[in-house]
Parts: sequence; structure tokens; C-alpha cells
Amino acid sequence: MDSSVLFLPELLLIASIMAIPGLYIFTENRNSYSICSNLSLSGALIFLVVSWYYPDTISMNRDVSVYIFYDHFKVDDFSQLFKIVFVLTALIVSLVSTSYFEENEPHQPEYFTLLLSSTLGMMVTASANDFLTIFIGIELSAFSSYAMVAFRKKDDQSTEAGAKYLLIGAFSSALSLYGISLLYAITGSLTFDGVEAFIDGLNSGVIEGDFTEVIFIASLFIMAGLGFKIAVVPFHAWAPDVYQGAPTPVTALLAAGSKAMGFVAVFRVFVFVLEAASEEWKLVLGIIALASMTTGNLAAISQNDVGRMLAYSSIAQAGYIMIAIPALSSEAMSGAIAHTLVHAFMKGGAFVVVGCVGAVGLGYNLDSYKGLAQRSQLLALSMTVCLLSLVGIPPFAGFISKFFLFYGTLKVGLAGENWLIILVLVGVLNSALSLYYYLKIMRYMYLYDPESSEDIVFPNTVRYISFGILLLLAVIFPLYWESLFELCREASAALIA
Amino acid sequence: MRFPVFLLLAIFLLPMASAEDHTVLVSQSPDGMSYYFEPIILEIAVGDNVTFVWGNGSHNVAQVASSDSGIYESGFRSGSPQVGGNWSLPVEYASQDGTLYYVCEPHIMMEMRGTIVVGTGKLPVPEISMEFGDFPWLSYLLVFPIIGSLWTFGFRDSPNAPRIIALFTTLFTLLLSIVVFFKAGKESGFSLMEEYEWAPSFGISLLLGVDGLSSPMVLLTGIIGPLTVIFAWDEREKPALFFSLLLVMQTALFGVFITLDYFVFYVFWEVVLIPMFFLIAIWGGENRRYASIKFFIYTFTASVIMLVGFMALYFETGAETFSMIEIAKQNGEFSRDFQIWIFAALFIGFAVKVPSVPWHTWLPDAHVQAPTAGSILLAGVMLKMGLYGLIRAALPVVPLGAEYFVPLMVVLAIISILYGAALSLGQTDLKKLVAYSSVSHMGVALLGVATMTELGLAGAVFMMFAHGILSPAMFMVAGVLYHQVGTRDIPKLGGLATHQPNTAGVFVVIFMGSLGLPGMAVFVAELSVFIAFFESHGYWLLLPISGMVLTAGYHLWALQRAIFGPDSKQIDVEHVHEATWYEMYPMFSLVLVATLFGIFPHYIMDPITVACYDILNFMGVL
Amino acid sequence: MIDPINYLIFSSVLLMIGAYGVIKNKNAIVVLMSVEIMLTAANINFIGFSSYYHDLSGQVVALFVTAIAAAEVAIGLAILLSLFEQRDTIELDLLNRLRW
Repeated sequence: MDSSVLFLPELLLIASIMAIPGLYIFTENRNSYSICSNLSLSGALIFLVVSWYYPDTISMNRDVSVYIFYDHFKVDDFSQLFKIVFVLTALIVSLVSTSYFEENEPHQPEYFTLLLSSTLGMMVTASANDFLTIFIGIELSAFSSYAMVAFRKKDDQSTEAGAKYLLIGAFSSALSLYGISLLYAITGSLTFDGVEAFIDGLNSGVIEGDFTEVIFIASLFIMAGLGFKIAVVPFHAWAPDVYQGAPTPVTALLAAGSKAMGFVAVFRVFVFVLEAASEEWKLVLGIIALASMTTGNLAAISQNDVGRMLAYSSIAQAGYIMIAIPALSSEAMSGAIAHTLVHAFMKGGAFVVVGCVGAVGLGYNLDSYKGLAQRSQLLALSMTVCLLSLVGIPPFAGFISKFFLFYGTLKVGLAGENWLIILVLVGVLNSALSLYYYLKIMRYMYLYDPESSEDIVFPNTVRYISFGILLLLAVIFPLYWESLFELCREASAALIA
Repeated sequence: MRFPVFLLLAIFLLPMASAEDHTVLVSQSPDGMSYYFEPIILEIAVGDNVTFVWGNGSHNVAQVASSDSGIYESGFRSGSPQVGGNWSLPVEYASQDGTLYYVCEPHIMMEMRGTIVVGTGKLPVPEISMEFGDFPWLSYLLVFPIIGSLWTFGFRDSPNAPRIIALFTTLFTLLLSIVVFFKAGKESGFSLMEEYEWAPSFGISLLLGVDGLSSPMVLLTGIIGPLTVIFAWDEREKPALFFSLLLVMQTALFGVFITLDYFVFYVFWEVVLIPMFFLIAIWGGENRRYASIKFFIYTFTASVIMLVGFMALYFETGAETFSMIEIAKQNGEFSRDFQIWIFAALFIGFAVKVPSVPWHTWLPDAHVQAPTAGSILLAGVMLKMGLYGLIRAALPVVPLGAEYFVPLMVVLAIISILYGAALSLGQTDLKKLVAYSSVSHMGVALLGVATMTELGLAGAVFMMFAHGILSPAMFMVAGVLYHQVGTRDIPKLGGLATHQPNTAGVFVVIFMGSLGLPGMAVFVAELSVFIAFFESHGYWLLLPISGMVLTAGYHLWALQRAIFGPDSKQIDVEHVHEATWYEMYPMFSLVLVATLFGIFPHYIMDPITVACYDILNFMGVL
Repeated sequence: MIDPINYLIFSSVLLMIGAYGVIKNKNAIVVLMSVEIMLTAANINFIGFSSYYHDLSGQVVALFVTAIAAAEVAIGLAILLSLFEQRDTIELDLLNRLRW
């Protein structure tokens, strides 16, 4: 079979992106848009999962990376694993959105179109094999999410968050584009392989010249752009505002999908392309990791808005993942991949609950979580598991992936790179620090009496999704974590090789 | 035909016959300026003969414990100083790998010492017998409470079902734990072992096993379980959730005591926190929100540091396994500095749970705010996790680190004993008094560990058991009083004995047991620890012993003020009646158990001693 | 043949002008324009070094970036317009409903 069949998931999404505005002309039925979006996403998901577990059905071999579109598009284990995550998050968001919207919410077809194109951007990023493709992928996803954040035109906060997100995002993507142009200036190539070969040549002396400063500056510029996507200090200022202001399903997409996409780009660019120049940027990334963890956790303690608190926690989590990147070993990378995956589920799950609580009119303040356990056992339990998972308390999935992450990094640290040990220690102590504010939410849910005692009514989709995430984090990942790590190992092998 | 057989025999016997002879010259220079053994360091193979030959001067040969010790304690000795002649090292000293240090006793000031390195120079790792059971007793211990917990929660709408199911489950696990205790027996090594792979690429598996150290703890957890349920029989607020949390907690506690894998140990260790947090947070007293969060954060912070220690051990071993036994076998490979760092990390994790001063501040808060059933589990079983972990997971693995910290442990233990007792003396809240007395009692146990002797260690473990029986009883007393008169404030109480004579009688026995009356379990433990401490540290014993005076003081004073004396005006004495059956039975059974093991301590002391001997053997202390 | 260092000097000057504009200005529209200048700076690099290396891919990037910049301005103006409808201003200092 032709190898471009691997582009099918993206193609499904593109078809749907075109179809949904078309549906608007033919039908007034609001459900049709979400059904169309859900169908295409599930189709893509099924295709990705099947091609992961039964590559024979499309006559492909998973051990070999496949290049399509004149080598601009690379399909390997790494990209496929993350595409599964993106599509799954988008599917969850798409399912939850329907229940989040009010009856006569305007602009629904646009919303689903944007959701799909944002996901498409993420998938393109995951598969990009040169700087132009990765830039276009990131921008496609970013532009769609700018519009989604500002989606509620009448909502004051939503628009303000959108404006802030747009301005900071545009600025940082311009910076990273300049970094890419600097790399092009010294290497004359835009493909990942070309740039990597050039730096290798520099190291081995095949190519004459001293470009260390230029590479350092270029990697700083690129980091500025990607750091904005993953929200690490000092590029994090937008995150709390946007997480608080945006409609909650969009926040879930940003926290789970968009963040994972940022990490995909960071992994590709720093671990694959610039790996040979790692001496230049290692320390910078280490410091960024340290600052993110500490700032995120400290700032989260004093927050009253749950969305804002989770935004700061998300900054801290990005810091944890960043620890593994300077380690550059395949084990540390698979730990980082595992934590990125699990983080998408933990944050996604938490924001599903936040969205649900917000949608029934309770609000987003800590006070609105008072006595949630008495009003809905499932929501409180699901939130609790997500939070404990975020802290890293065994036996939940977050502990296991965080352990894997620290394990890989510590191994490299003990093998000679001693400063990594400090990073791990700070990370571990930060986990203990973060316990405080996560417990604060749990305290409000369980230890206070609610203002009204009637049960919260929420749609079944939310019920199934929270239950599914609960099951995933508390039972499936902890019991079968060896298979989870197997996935991550394969992905990291594809990334580093 | 005879000749080849003879030849074969000769070939077989050849290695034995080839034992080499070595001589060591014991001498001094004629001017008396230098005294020496020649060669100073002699390397021999296992089974070689060594003869000491006297040159100039009057010397003898005596073994010492280490390269800087000068006092003969045990081992070989040639006799009193002699002039001329020779003396052969007894063959048994050269029959296994090891390093022998010896000195000339009259000339120890002149640094006249020598070393014989036998074989590899390292003592062989003691064999640890690992017996895999034919029936998964231990996994049943883990699984049954969980099943019971789900079952209980399934019947959450029924008024009676949860407590009946919980009682049934805990009685069944009690039975299981008794079986496990007897199956574990008094033999050295681990028995009833089971192994289930969890994450083979990391070397993590659910490795279960019990030895003389863990089987009393399993028994203790089993005993406390049903008593907690019975005592909380009348729980009215969300009883199903309450009992299912108790059962989850029981699984986690069993897990801590029977796993032999660092990673799984850590997982269970943390899982204990979650139900306890909710027990305090939902059913606790006035200040429960503060207490539960303090408890959670305090212990979690300490244990993440411990986790880093575990990971460092794992990497240092390089054996790709988290098994405690495998890692302990390689303790000879760890450098001293490494051991000190690791022990420090592990000690922080364990000492917070013990709790030792200065990390004890979470305990009074948690105890006072927790519901009585929670206090019972907390004091009865959870506090034992700290010392159990110290003995199981730290001592055999990093012996040099432990040795380095012995002075610190002794100081902390003595401060805990005295400070805990002194604070108890000043408490007016009965529950707070018991909480501080726990600090004091666990200080005694820590002191036993710090002696690093068989008797001291065994005494410490026995103390854990005895305290695990008697401090729940003390909390039950506080619970009964609070239930009947609505206050635990000692000055407000008084004159209860006349209104509830039988109950007061049980109270008195419990108080006497807790203060260390001979014939009750605590006494045995204290006695062993103090004897061991006297042997290792001499008259410093006076410090901890004086703590015992305080202990007797606060127990008797509290008893006298709260139970006896004239009727108090501040409470409604007329309505005081005998304790209900579900309060009486648990207290009475605890008294019974404490007396049983006070009079026949050897039932528990024997397995403990064997296990402690194994652990010290692993540490190379013996 | 132009010395390639000139491209770099020109582009970095443009980048700095753009970055200064973003940081200094309070008006959202001007900030958007400054971002465009920064993108142009990157484009200068791409085009200049494309001719230096005789490699077309740089010019292709420049075309793509121009298109992306246009899309960015479109979305940006749309958002700023709805902001203006609500508040009658697009001064960045006044965006303080959410804690900045």
C-alpha cells in the first residue's frame, strides 16, 4: 500500500474541517457539528491505534520511520504516540464541549472547526521533519486556539484572555522564527537531518568554523518560542490569565493538548536536532526547569481561582518534564514522554471537572468547591484522583510517570552529570511543596459543608469521561505501567535514533 | 587397580594438603625504638596455617575488633606476654574469608599491630534462607481487606451491613495473621515468600515474605483490626465510608510489613497516608482540617526524601533490582560516605513516622483530632512503621552509615524519652497525654535500635509490639471517657471509679501496663532495652531511666485525678455508667494480650531475636 | 555578491526595532505591527541566505511566513475588534480584569 495512507488521520480531520461549515448551510441541527467532529476524531483515533498495534493491516513496519511528502513529513513511533494523545484529548474536549454550551450558543460550527484545525496543527507538529513544517504546525494550532480562547465574544474575560494570548504568542513565535532563520543562516538547511548533520560535522571537525555563539543564541530564540507553548518560566505569564479566562473546554485543550504539542516540538528540536550542540543549551534548560518548578508551585499556593491554580501547577509540571531534557538519555526521554502523556490525562481530567462545576453555575472559585463530595461523589473522587496524581502520590499514574522521569534523570546524574542530581532533588522537594495547594482543593471538597445540598446534575458524557479518566489514572496505568513504559521507550527510541 | 584409585585420592587430597604455612615475626629492634610484626599485613588463602615466631622482647598476640582498637575483647590470644618461642593461629580463624586485626597488648602504645587478610578479606555474605510458600497466605492478607472494603462500600445504604461486614473481614484477617505468625515460626530467614512481577524492566516486583521481625507486626495489625471496628461499632456518620477506609488502611499496613521490595514498600508506605488523611479530616475533632493537612504534608515531605535514598541505593547497586535482600547482600560495596548520606535520607523519612523529637509535632495534633478508631490505628500500628522501616530497610543495607549516626540516635532517643514524658506530665487533655507518652515510649524503642546489639534490637521490636497493644488501650480509655462525660480534660474529671467500678478497674490495669508494670508487655521491652543500653553505654543509662520515673509519675497522677478522688462538680457524674460492650470487649482483650505476652514474652521474643541476629549479622556487627 | 554579515546586521536591527516596539507600546495594534516587523527580520535572513547558499527553501519559507503573518493579523484584528466593542479601548494597560 502506498505510504501516504499514513496521512489518513490528518486527512479525515481536514475533510471534517471543510464539512462542518458546509453543514451549517444545510442543517439547523446543532448536534450535527459535534457529531461530525466526534466521528472524524474517533475515525482518526481508531486508525492510529490500529496502525500502532497491527501495523500489518496497512502493510507497514513500525521499526522503520516512513517519510511522506518529499521527506517533509515523518511518521514514526514518536509521532504516532503523540497523535493518539492529541486526538484523544480533542475527542474528550469535543464531547465535553456540547454539554458546556448553552442551548443557543452561537458560532458552534466555527468552534468545532477551530477545535479540529487546532488538533490538525498538533498532529502536523508531531510529524514535522523540517523547521518550516514544525513552524506551520505550531502556528496552525496556535491561531486556532487564539480564536477559541476569545470564542465567547460577549464574555469580557474570554476576550481579554484571547487578546493577551494572541499578543504574547505572536511575539514569541516571531522570536522562534528568528532563531530558525539564524540556524538556516549558518547551516543552509532547513531539514532536521540537514541541521543535525551540520552540527555533527562541526563537532567532528569535518566542517570548519566556530559557530558556538550563534547556535547558543539560536537555541535561546527557539526556546523562547517553544517555552511559550509549554509555559515555562520566564515565558509563562500568559498561562494563568488564559486558563482562567478561556472557556473551560478550551482550557482543557490548552493544558492537555497544546502543552503536549509544545513538548513534542521541544523534544524534536532539542533532543533530536540540536542534540550534538547540547553543551550550549543544557544549562539554560536546567535553569528554566528549576525556575519553573519553584515559581509555579510557590505562585499556585496563594491562588483562589481553581483554573488559575491549575495553570500554575501546569507551569510546575512543565518544569518537572524539562528536568529530563538536559539528561539526553533514552531512559530520561521516555520518562519525559510518559509524564507528558500522563499529564495530559491528569490535567484534562481536572479541567473536565472544573468545567462541569462551572457549567452548573457554581463558578470557578475555591469556595464553589465547598462540599462538592456531598453533592457529587463522582466529580469529587475524579478530581481527587487527578490532584493526587498531579502531586505524585502512589499508587496513582502521576507517581509512576514522575518516578520514571526522575529515575532516568537520576541515572544520568549519578553517572557523572552531578548537577542533574540537584535538579531531581529540587523536583522531589517541589512535589512535597505542591501537596499543599492540591490538598487545599481536596479540603474544600471534603471538609466543608456545601451551601446547598442538592445533587449536581450533569450530562452523562461528563460522567463517563470522568469515570474513564479516574479508571485510567487509578487502576489501568498503575497496574499495567510496564506496557505504558514500553510505548514510551519505543517512542523515545524513534526520537533519538 | 589399587594404584589409580590411590592416585585419584591423592589428586583430590592435593588441594587440602597444599595449605601453605606462613610465619609472622614478633619482634622489636635491639634499641627498643620500634616494635613490629613482620610482615605487618599478611595475605593468606583460606585454610592456610599461620605461625607467630618470637624474636626480641616480651610480646603477645591478641585479636582486636578493628584497625584502631587496642582492647582484646574476643577472638584468638596467645596468652600472657612471653619471650621467645612460637604460637600457631588456631585453624578456625583462617577457615573463612575475613580480615583479622591483632595487636601486642604490652606494646599497644607503640602501635605494634598487624593484620591478616584471609582470602578476599571480606566476611562472606551470610546466607539468608528464602522459603517460598506453597499457599499464598501473604497475598490473601493483602487482598481480603480490599475486598471487604469494596463490599462494605457496596452496602453503604444499609444501617447495619457495613459494620458487620467490616467485623467479619477483620476477624478473618486476624485469623489469617495468626496463621501467618505461626507459619513464620522461629527459624532464621524469610518464609512464606511470594513473588509477582510488576515492572520487570526496573526490577520491581511484589516480593512478599515474613521473618521474625515482620510476623509480630503482622499479628499486631491483625489484632488491632477487629478491635478498631468493634470500638467504632456505634459510628453514625457515614459508617460505610469509615469502615471501608479502615480496611484499605489495613491492607496498606500489611503491605508495609510484608513487602521486601523497596519500591513496593514505598508505595504502601504512601498509601497508608490517604485513608488516614480522610479519617482525620472527616471524622476528626474541632481542629481537624489543620491537623489532617499538617499530618499529610509532614509525613509526605519526609518520605519523598526517603524515596530518593531508595533510588540512590538502587543505582549504586547496579543490580537492576529493588529487592531489599539483594541490595543488602551488596552492602560491602558501598563506600562509607555514600552510606552516611543514604542513612541520613532514610532516617529523616523514618524518624518522622517514629516520631522522634524534633519531628514529633504532627503527632499530638493528629492524635487529638483523630477519631478514637483512627488514633488506635495511628498509635497502634502506624507509628511502628517508622522503626520497622529503620530496622528492615536501613540498618542491614547501610551499616556504616547507621554506625555513624548511633550517637545522634542515642541523643534523639533520650531527648524523646525525657521530653515526651515531661510534656505528658503537663498535659490536661488525656488524649494529648497519651500522644506524648507515645513519643516517650517510641524513644525507648529507638534507644534499643541505637544500641546495635541483639538484645537492644529485640527489645525495641518487642517495645513496638507492646506499645502497639497498650497505647490503643489508652486511647480507648480516653474515648470511653469522652463518650460518657463529653470531655477529656483531666482537671474536670474525677470520682468516676465509684460510678463505674468495673470499667475503672480495667482502666487501672491499662494504665499500669502502660507505665511498665512487671508482668505486662511493656516492662519486658523496657528491661531488655535498658540492659542492652547499659552494656553498650554504661551509666548514661541513668538519663533514660530517670524518664521512667516521670512516666510512672504522669500515669499515676492522671489516673488519680481523672478516675479516683471526689466527684467532680464540673461534669454530670450521675450519668456515668459502665462502658458499653463494644467498648469493654476491645479494652479487655487488649489487656489480656498484653498480660499474655508480659508473662510469656518468649512467644514473640524468640522469632524477634532470631531475626535481629540475622540483621546484625548482615551488618557485620557480630 | 553581498557579504552575508550585512544580512545579519540588517535583520538583527529590524528584530530589535520590532522587539522594542512590542515592549514599549501600549497600543495593541502597534504591538501587532511590531510583531510583523520581527517576522520581516526573520524573512530577511531567509531570503538573504537563500541567495547566498543558492538554495530555494529559504525563499519558500519567506512566502509561507508572509501568509502566516497575514493570518495572524486577521485573527489579531478580529479579537482586538471584539475587545474594542466591549471596552471602547485597546490600551494594553487596561487589560486588567484578569490579574496580569
